[in-house]
Amino acid sequence: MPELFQSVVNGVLLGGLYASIAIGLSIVFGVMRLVNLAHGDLLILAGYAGLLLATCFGISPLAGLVVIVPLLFIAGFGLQKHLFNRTMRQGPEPPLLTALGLSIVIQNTLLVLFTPDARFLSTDLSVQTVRITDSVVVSAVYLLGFLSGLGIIILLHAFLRGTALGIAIRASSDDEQTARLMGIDTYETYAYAAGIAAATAGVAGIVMGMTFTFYPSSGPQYLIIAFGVVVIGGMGSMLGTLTGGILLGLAQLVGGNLLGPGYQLLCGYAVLFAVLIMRPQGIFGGKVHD
Amino acid sequence: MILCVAVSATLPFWASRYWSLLFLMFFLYLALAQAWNLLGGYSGLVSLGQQSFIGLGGYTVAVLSVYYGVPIWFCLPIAGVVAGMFGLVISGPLFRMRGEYFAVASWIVSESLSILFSNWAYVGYGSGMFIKPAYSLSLTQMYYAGLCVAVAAVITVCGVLTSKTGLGLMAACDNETAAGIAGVDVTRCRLYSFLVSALLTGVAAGLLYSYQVFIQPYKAFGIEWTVRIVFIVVIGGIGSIEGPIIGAAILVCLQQYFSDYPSAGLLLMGLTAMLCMLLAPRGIAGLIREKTGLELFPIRYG
Amino acid sequence: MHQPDNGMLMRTVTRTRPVSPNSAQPFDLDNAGNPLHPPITRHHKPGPWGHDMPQKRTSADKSWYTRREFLKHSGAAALTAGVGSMLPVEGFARATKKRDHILIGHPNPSTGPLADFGEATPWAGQRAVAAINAQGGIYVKELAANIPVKVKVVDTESDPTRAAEVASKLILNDEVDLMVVLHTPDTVNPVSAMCERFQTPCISLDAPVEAWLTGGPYEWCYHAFWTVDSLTDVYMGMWDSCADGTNKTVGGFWPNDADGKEWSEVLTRKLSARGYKVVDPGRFPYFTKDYGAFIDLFKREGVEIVTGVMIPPDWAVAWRQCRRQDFAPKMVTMGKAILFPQAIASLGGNLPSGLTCEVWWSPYHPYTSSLTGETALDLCNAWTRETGKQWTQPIGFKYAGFEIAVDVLRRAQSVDRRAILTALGQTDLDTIVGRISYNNRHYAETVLVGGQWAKGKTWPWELNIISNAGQRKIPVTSGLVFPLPR
Repeated sequence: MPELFQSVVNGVLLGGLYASIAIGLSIVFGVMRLVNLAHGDLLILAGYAGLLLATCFGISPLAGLVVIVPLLFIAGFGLQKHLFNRTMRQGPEPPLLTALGLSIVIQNTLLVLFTPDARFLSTDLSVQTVRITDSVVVSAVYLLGFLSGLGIIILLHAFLRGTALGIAIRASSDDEQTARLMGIDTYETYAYAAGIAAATAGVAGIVMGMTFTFYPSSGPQYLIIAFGVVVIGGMGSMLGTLTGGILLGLAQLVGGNLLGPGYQLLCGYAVLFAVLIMRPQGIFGGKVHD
Repeated sequence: MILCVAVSATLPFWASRYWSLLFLMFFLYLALAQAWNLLGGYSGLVSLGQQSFIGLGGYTVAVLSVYYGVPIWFCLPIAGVVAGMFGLVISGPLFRMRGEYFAVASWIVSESLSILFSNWAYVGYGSGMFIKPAYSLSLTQMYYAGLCVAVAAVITVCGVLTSKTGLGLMAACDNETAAGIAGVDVTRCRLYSFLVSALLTGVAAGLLYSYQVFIQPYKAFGIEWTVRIVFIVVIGGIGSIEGPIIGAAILVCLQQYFSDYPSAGLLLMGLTAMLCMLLAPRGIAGLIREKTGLELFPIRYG
Repeated sequence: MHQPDNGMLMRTVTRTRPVSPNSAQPFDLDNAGNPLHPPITRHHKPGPWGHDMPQKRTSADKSWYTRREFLKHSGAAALTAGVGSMLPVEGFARATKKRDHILIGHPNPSTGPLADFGEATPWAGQRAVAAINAQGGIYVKELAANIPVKVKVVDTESDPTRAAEVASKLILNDEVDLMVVLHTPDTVNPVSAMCERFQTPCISLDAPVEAWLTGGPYEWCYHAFWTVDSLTDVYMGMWDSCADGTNKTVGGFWPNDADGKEWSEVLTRKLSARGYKVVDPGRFPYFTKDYGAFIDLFKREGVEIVTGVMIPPDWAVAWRQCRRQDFAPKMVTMGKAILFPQAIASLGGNLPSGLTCEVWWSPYHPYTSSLTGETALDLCNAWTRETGKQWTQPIGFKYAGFEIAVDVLRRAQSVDRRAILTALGQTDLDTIVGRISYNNRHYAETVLVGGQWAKGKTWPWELNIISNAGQRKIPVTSGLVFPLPR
């Protein structure tokens, strides 16, 4: 069954890309218990930033990451510090709705600036393929997505364990009061965590823009994918995010292969819903961090 | 309020058709917002999935009137019942979740419905259906129907909240454990408000699609509905009955003003909503209440 | 956290604001809404909207009702008076209102996935209308004078819901006399529905007839374009001409929109009757990201001819993926997606070479404008001269829409909608897209031929007519390139 095997391979690779999209949401959710509904839109923002760099300055999207990642880090940091930190004190729901408002603001700003036309970050990689066997062909951008997801996760894992800031972030998410007693400014660490999350969204956004066409309104669909990955894999766990991404990618493509193309997304949602009902903390969840 | 209603009842006779249309939209958004407010403002269930009921209500009207020839006026209550039944079915899995999980899960339910309907030949796949029997409805008839729906929505929500169930809801919001000890069946109360909300949304949506004549799964089950409803309630004032009234009026005015630049209008609404969350968490109704103490419906939470 | 209830279900007022800091409990707010003690953001759940106490009066409190009534009357009366004074008193005198122009409404997909269709607006409309206005405008009996024609263009953003909104606003607020709408069922159908509901005459083009008919039967809307039936004949004409070189297996990319549904049904039926094998993977939504399953199916079944009716961005994704997965059909005929040079260019590289599609209008069509007498070629040259862009198929149809509108208004000589409708039904006009004469189902069929993209001389890619079965008046400009170059 070479076609099924092709779907499996594609599903795993796509899962890596999904994991890189979801890692930001996982961080924010794990550290601050905040579902950043604007996460998908940050991705799209990165995509448009890459487009702008490519069309105005002729910089290739991958090279443009040098500019985009810091920019998004600053954006995430600023948003958390000035916007979300203040609404978080009011309870769990106001940040959710504030994020919704932010999502709409980003989407419509992009709509006004760039019009609803389809965009694509086309590079030489767009049509290149890597041949594994006679019947299994792997597209280069899918491979790039998988590798970027893997890379981000490994980097973040090292960061959270190794650096002082990383440990501070983990401490703040484990027990906020104690962390504050130890002298950690928890709100500042939240801002750093949000900045890191936005930076990962930047990388994922560029890769996404190179793989798929995107519109200003594409954000929410990636948000749902990210949420699905976080739920399936377990919140706050790096390995869980990777596993969740792969599972979701497999569910989509294999399910789409078996049930028909219109049901691709639905298969992913069904798996997500099943996990939500049966094991809401996810496969690797239950603990806050690795 | 009664004076207002009486005046609005005579509107079609002396205002242009366009104003009738604006008020119809105002009534429908008001009903939708009251339904959401019942959940989000009073029951502590922030739902991002009201569009499931909107789509179901609209499709019920479409299918019944086009395939079975049921007169549109009978279709509307049936649409509400269908939405309510779906609410009952989906409440099983949904009520196991809380907070953010509930919100996003309700959204995923509506996305799934969107995919299911767009793959279903019976309702015309992704191209949707034309509710042709609705051509014969005049704007005046729909205007009065809208007025009735809006008034009914406000009365229903008030009724639920002044009843035992409503008090139980608000108690549960404060402290679920204490309410449970006091004898409140929290789940049952929440289910009740969920079903009422679904019913109201279904009826309002049925009327809305009777006006629009054209229903398509991606838009019918789209998140844009929830975005608009949430903005209405947040800007108008969450947890109060006047809030959605003010918010719906603002939304309709904004939409009318920005009709040539809808993205700019939505942008402004998003910014205003965020500002409200930061500066005026009770919305405009809350501001009015704090400054003047004026309260048209003294049922509010928080 | 809160004062205990004493086990009672009925709540009475337990606390009013403001809260003095001395008696503050954790998680209380001061008057400005700031927390008196910074709360732990994770472990509490005080209620949906903050930490206030509910202030709920019970129905046992009778004074609630009387105070409510008072507040109602005073506040509401003021509100109503204010609002009422702002409402314009409209009504009965619309038809005989003082007017100085005829307004045509034109909802157009200027942005979004269908933007390529709507590109020639406002150029084409303005050109047509300028011609008639230069001659003094339209004579209107009620005013006994010639008044000019104005066109109001509104963007539908390629979104059917927005199209419906835009149309209803044009009818109710701007009070257009006539609607001209084009470009795929996603634009035409919702606008026709609104026109039918609000009884406004509507001229529509550029959407396959069967898809438009699903919203019918119409009283106020008239349509002109080709049928999917004749499209199938054109496609089969192209495929038959190279039938010996293929195994007559056709695979289709048909999305789940109105076109996809219609085309898949008609094509499957007619092709099977002609001995072709049709491989149909099923309907799929717009913006599907991955077509791997389709391509695998096509490879497995040995598909050598690919067809479908995708929106341009989706086709770009699908065709690139075909290349990546080494799927090389001998012939590709794609509807809707490769009609425009921009869509073709966005495929990149050599991907557009040899793709075939339907051609509904070209500079080679032997028709002339009823307004100025210019030929199709003249119109295309004018377009290139004034905008610097390559010609596209909708230009002719947009122009024709306004040709019909002007002709109808001229014959109606009135701004009464019924008169315009009657004149519309009696249309029999030679336009730049051919002869338009509506039948009793309110539509007219226009001609269709087959075309193929090849590397061009003046432009990177040019569309040649390679098949004109049944329409011998339209010349073939190039031979068919078969099989598809790689």
